[in-house]
Amino acid sequence: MIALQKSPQEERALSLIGASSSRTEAFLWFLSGLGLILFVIWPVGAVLFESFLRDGSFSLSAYRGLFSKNLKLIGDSFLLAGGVTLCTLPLSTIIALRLVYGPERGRRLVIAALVLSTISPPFLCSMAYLMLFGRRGLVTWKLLGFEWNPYGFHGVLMMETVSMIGLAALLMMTSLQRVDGALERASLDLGASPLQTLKNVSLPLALPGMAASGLVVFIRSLSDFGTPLFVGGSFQVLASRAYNTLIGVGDFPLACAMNVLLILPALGVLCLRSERQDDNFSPGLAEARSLRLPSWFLRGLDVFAWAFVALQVLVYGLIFLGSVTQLWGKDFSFTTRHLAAILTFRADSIRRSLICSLVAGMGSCLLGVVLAYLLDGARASVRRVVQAVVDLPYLMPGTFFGVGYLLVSSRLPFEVGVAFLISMSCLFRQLSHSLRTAKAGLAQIDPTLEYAVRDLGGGPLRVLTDLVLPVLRPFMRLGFLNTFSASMTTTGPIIFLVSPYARVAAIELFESINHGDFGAASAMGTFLIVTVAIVNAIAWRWSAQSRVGALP
Amino acid sequence: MNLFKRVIAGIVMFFFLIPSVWAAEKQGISIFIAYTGIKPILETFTQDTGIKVDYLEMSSGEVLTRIRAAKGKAQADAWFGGGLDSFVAAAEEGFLEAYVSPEREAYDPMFYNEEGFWSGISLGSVVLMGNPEVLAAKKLMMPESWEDLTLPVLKNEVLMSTPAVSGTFYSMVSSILQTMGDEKGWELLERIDANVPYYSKRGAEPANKVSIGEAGVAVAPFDTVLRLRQEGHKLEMTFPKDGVPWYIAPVAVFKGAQNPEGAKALVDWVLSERGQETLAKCTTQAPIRPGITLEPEVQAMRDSNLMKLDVVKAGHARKEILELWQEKFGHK
Repeated sequence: MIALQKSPQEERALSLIGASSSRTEAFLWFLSGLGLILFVIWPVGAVLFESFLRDGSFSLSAYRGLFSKNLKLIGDSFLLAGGVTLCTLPLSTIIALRLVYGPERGRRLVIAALVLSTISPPFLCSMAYLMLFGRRGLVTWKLLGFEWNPYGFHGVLMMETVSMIGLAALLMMTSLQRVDGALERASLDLGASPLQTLKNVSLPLALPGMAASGLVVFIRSLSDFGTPLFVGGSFQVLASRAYNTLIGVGDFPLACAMNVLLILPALGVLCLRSERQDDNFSPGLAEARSLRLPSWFLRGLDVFAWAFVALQVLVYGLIFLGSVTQLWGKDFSFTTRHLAAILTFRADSIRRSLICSLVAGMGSCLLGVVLAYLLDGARASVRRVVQAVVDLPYLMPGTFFGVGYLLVSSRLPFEVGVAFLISMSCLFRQLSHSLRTAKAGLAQIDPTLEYAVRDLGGGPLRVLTDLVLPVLRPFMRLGFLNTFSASMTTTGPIIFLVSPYARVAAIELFESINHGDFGAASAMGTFLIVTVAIVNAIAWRWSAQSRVGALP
Repeated sequence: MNLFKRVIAGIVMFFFLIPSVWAAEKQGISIFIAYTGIKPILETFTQDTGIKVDYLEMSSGEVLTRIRAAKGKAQADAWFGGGLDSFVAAAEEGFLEAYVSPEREAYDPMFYNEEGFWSGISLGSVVLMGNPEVLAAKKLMMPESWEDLTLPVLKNEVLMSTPAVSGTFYSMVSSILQTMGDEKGWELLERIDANVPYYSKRGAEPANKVSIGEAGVAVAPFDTVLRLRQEGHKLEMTFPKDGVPWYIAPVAVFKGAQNPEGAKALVDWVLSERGQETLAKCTTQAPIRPGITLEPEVQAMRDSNLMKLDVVKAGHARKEILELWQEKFGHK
């Protein structure tokens, strides 16, 4: 084990940039603080405030017995989130290891499958999974001939795990790639075996990425209500029950109060966690990897990676085929009628979706980096508070975040554009992911490198442009990718923001699925997936031209 | 510096893009709908009146939540279709505009609100829908009555939604209670419950899941079954012998609508003979106005043994019924 201790002086090194340009830093603090207050604290506060209003007057009735009545739901929610995290982390680590240390051949395909899996249009993918692995699923029933019941805790656990592996594995991969090859070599030179090196050097160095993916998965599972609604059967969690209380029973105060049950314990867990800083040491000078893992080990990794690819090929293949067959399962003849139907969808909803998602994606990855950078030099208490605020919208079921925006915007004396509300809600809802991603990246920059840049005569701007940004680039790309895809496909927060005049593509998809029209839904889904994939490819190209090694 | 420039370019683009999506162009009227076959109906309306329509599909629960969150500030001009109970609640909370259409003279008063908050446009019913493949594989008979749904052989094969999220299931529950009386009604629902593996939390789900074979039988709206059949699914359907629950799809104008005249024109049109004939052509609900020729299969539904109901009373009893329901079956 290498000593990875830092002196206190080094720990604060990155904030030196701030010290010498405190005006810029103060300005950034002001901007991001204003953003968080306007677009997070205000709407979330408005939702929580509603829980105290019963028929227009102050009342605590929603809180009476709230905790004791929902004890089981709280337990189930956290059990599920913990379970999903425990299942997702090892699987995504395995796939990330395969990508970093495995053979070049096939790597692109696995990455493509991972990226694809992050663009899962909600409901459509659930539907595809049921058609493949449901009680009458193509694979489970027609091929393997066994009948099982996917509804319940196990169904939700599996479906959430599969849907989150992509994002977690991409983040893990990015972290592992940033691990310094020189340190691995040093360990090998000192006589450690490749597996020992992996266990004692590489994986610990990639810990920030692993911690970030774990937390993102945990939070996302807590606030996910779509999957439990769809495959939960009689198993329900807080998020889905809150949704039901709001939309079905129509008990506004109680539904809002249930969010408190979700937010408070979750923030508690997260605060405990962030007490420990993810410090890291990684000059990132040597990109070349000399760590050669034993081939039996790699083959083992391969099995998991390709199983994942096969699964994605099945699911997305089903969606693509569904968009060109008359009726999946009954009439397999070829048709272009579903694809032609896309043309009859309103072009402006597709345009609006694209623009909103671009704005949200770029905004969220930029704000994520700025915040990560500011927090790096901030006091622990500030860090914890800001982190908690950023996590709030991610912790709430999306529907409630949307309700918050509606509560706020309908009280304003002036009209706020629908698209602006959509963009901002997506931006700030996904900020938690972008911030954690950026932090993981920042944690891998060695403060001594900053001294190096400064000793060579570079100013704080040089540090930012030539050191921080290049290292963070792949992490920013991930932040963008996640927010953009989520904004293109999400319906939860948006259903309360779109108006009949201003629709978005995801709503069109949602309507087809509600009609049980798998053909039209998969055509729209295919269109969304292709669009997101193209934008991702462009973003990848755009951000990856100059290599990281090009330090001054 | 290359990358830095790109980031700056990104920021500039970011601020450039925001205004381009700020405002959406508004013309004509906007409506929230929960109604099958809406597209050709509204196209005919636009042809006839020259009023352009923008619509958004939302369940009536979502519409109600949305107006409540906006504290009554109108989110659209008109509301087309959905559960009557939500319309009743919205009228009570002051979200709807009273409008007495000249067309309503032709209608039986049981189908509209006296003050004019809402008017029924068509009648839908709740039926049993089966997946013949699943039933055949398990050697099950297609159930023909509510009583049949309680047969132990159908264990875990019956799909329903919670009445809280679905107007259809609310009307099934409230109709059974109204016609059989509370005691017998709840007892029947409890026996059906024994065969229901879980209650779907979204209204469209039972029919969709049964159409892909996830279970044998769904309780479903009549028009949904016909639509799924049109899409090519092979499905069985029966009108329950012991009474077919029915509901009406209402239309209403929101209070504070931006284009109230346009919204009222829509109400007039859909209640007129022309509008009702268009409904008869485009949907599989039965238009209410007397004297409209129905498609044979819709006529068959109209002629089935529809229960004797007071649908407005059902709309008022919602809160009570749901609370009891939640107590008995809420855990599923």
